[in-house]
Amino acid sequence: MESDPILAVDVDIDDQIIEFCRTHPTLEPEHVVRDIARIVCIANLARNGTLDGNAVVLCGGMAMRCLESPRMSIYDSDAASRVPINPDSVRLAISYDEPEIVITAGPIQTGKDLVTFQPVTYTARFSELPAAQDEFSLSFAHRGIELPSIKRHLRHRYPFPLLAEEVEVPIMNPEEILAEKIVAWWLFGHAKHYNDISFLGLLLAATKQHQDPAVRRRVRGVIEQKLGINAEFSDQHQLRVEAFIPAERKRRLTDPHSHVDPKRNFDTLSFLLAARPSMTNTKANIDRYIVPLLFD
Amino acid sequence: MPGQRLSNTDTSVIRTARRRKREVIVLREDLPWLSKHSDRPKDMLRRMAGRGALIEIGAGRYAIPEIGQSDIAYQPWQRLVHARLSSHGDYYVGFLTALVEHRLVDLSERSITVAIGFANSSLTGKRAEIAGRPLHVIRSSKAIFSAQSGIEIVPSPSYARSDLQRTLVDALWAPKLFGSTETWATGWGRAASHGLIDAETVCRYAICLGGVVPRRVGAMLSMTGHDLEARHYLPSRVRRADRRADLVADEPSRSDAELNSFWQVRFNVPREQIEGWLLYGK
Repeated sequence: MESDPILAVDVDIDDQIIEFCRTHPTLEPEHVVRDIARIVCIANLARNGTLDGNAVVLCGGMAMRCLESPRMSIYDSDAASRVPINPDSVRLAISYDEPEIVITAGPIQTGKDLVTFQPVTYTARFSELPAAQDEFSLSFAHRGIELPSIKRHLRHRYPFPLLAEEVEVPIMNPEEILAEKIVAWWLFGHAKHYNDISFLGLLLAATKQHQDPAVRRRVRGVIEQKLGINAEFSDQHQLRVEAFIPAERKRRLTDPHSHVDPKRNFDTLSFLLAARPSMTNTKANIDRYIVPLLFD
Repeated sequence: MPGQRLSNTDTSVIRTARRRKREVIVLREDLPWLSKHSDRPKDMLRRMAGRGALIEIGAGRYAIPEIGQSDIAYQPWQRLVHARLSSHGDYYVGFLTALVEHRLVDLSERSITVAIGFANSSLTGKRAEIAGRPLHVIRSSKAIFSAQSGIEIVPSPSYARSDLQRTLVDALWAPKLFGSTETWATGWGRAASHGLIDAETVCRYAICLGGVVPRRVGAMLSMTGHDLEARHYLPSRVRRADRRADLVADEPSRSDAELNSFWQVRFNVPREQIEGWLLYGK
């Protein structure tokens, strides 16, 4: 175990969390406490070399946050590995103890090319809020890493002090994240994926990369690789992948139906530092940046 | 939220409540001993809440905060919900809230979704809330609040909640309380991929709810690899209704919808979409 603590929170951290949630109505204090525990877990895995940027990288919602995405996942964390992980050694690497928090990895659930530690339990000694003792999950998918990872500061994006020092985390290449999100949207059709594709489109557009032929070529290539990997999961996956002729791929992006907008006053996607994007804007970003990237 | 300022009377009321092992003061039930502290107990409790000595839950109920924790955020919402609802009659926390609690989806939701077995207009109104959170309520006079139908008492903090199997069944009874079809179908998918579906129990609970719920459950079990069990545990009479049922109760019927001819269930949300959400499984 490293000797220096990862966390450096103020004594009135609970009040800071409560105040923060008061101005961010999609968040509850227990979400923030759990999120802090996940951030410490990721920071620890980066520090002890488990997230090494070569064999294992951070992906999913926590990686998106390092890219400044405002969307916040609540319970799950995701990593991708080039080869299958050793659950026993990773369990040891996840477990962490410092004065402010203790984290313990529990049993694993295994899926096709997937190992999920669930629950990862924690005691946040810094907090008296309801989620001070709770759990989250951490998944390692060994479905390949196609592009070189990049390093980003672990961005917690809270307006109060949290980490003793900045932590750099190797995350999946944003072009590969984009390819994964597009494939997931085509295959499964979840609102979160559509939101993330739109955000990544904006990210590419900010540096004009959406017009770069090399970027187009790489994203399209990785999409084909990801589709191939998914087709091997099951017969059902294979049938769905085979149905994705170009016209169908395009239709799914340009005609996303209505399930991004919350229905009936429920509000289930959380956004940490921004208002929920409108369906109109989300779709406009995809039409403008992603559709040409894939189909022109 | 102001800091706590406790008068001598406040301290005395809280001490008495603790001695009586009351986690929540209920004006109607605690009136006899509260009257010893004030001629107007109702006003006294309101003033105490204003000073942060108590937390108002609604309907004459007040939670007792710890010193320095006067904000409602320190209170587990489960405790406040139980305090607000349990004395009225049968209730359970379920639907989207239970789906999240059982970790079948990675979502957050401020609203709390409950079923109640009693009439109470302050709970079923459009602006109803508990513990500062919006409340979505369904009222039912059916016998669906027992352990036999899948309602468990969760300890510490104690409250009534639908168990995992019942939560899956409720999605096919009252989908509007799950936010969207995507949400509950994704929950079914995670339960299936993690091997959490107990088909026999799901079928038993579906029969408790009755109506077209067993047929919808049969169709969903078929899509998640439990077709033989569904056919075994759901009696043939559940399919003998004259009318075909829509899979999703709160989505519009479509005359061109694909039909599951065995269960006589129409996919009024396209099967391809449902299968995608199920297949995600993560």
